Amino acid sequence: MNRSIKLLASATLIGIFSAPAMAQDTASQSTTGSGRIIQPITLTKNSDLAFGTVVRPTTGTNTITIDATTGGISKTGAGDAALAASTSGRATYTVGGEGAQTFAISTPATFNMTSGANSLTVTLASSSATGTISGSLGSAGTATFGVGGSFPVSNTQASGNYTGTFTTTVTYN
Amino acid sequence: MGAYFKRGAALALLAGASTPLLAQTTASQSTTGTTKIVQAITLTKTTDLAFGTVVKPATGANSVVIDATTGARTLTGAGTAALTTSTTSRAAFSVGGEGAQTFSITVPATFNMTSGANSLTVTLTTSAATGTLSGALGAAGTATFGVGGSFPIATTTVSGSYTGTFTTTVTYN
Repeated sequence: MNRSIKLLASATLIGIFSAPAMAQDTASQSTTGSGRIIQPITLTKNSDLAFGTVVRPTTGTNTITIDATTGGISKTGAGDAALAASTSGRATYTVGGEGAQTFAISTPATFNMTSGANSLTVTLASSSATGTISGSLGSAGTATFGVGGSFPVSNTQASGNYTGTFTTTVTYN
Repeated sequence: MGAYFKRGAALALLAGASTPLLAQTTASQSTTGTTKIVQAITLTKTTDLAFGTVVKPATGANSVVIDATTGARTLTGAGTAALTTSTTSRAAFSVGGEGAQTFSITVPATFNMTSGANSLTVTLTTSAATGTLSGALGAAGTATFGVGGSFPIATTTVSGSYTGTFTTTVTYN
């Protein structure tokens, strides 16, 4: 008899305590926050684009090309232009930045080299459209690429020293 | 036959016992009991908080902000940090529960995102401090809200992938 009264009393106590806990009036969710921090990207030009000396054709036309990957110079077309022995080379660049990150390379499609009032339009080509910086996230890395180009030359092209500039840009993807 | 007689006697006894109660003077009052029963509140996370990739400043300091309402990512401050094209989002939540009920939204003031031994402290913001479930009492309703945040970034911030978690809670008002 005494025992059952105690049991009853404790059951009532439980009821009193659990009632204020209220019927699940809150709900929670865990959420993830994330972000990636990387160091600034840098671009250094190692060499300029040099087509060297070209002898214009006496007949027909040619295209003079510097390969973006190898830097090799070549002549195509049916004209009789000639490549004189001279220093030539592709433009080369070194990219610095966060390891393992990818970047896009952009150059203008064309640029002009001029000599006084005369002009040559050079079509540009890069060794790749994108690159990946060496190493892993958390450390600095590097990457390299090249830019070549081509221009047409005919027997009407004025002789002269032609120069021009273009801008190459790299952007993190 | 004997059994029927006994039952009849018992009925008579009951009637005899209840009659005197009716004879007493009584006073009555109608009393209203009320309660509102609502269904449990639920919280579902739709998207996590993602700051994407941020290029740390070469000079100065910046803050990276994700808007709690629009999810838009912006950069403030005088530093040279940059935002790269990457997937970003505010944290988004869906609340379920009783129609037309209001609830409060709580998040910690800050939480840490870590990358190894390095840490970023994110200050959290919510699109609203409270919300109201759609529909009317008696039907299920829903509501949505968002959580954004910001963290400072300096030239000394260490590169890496940072992650952390925080808990969001909704409570019926």
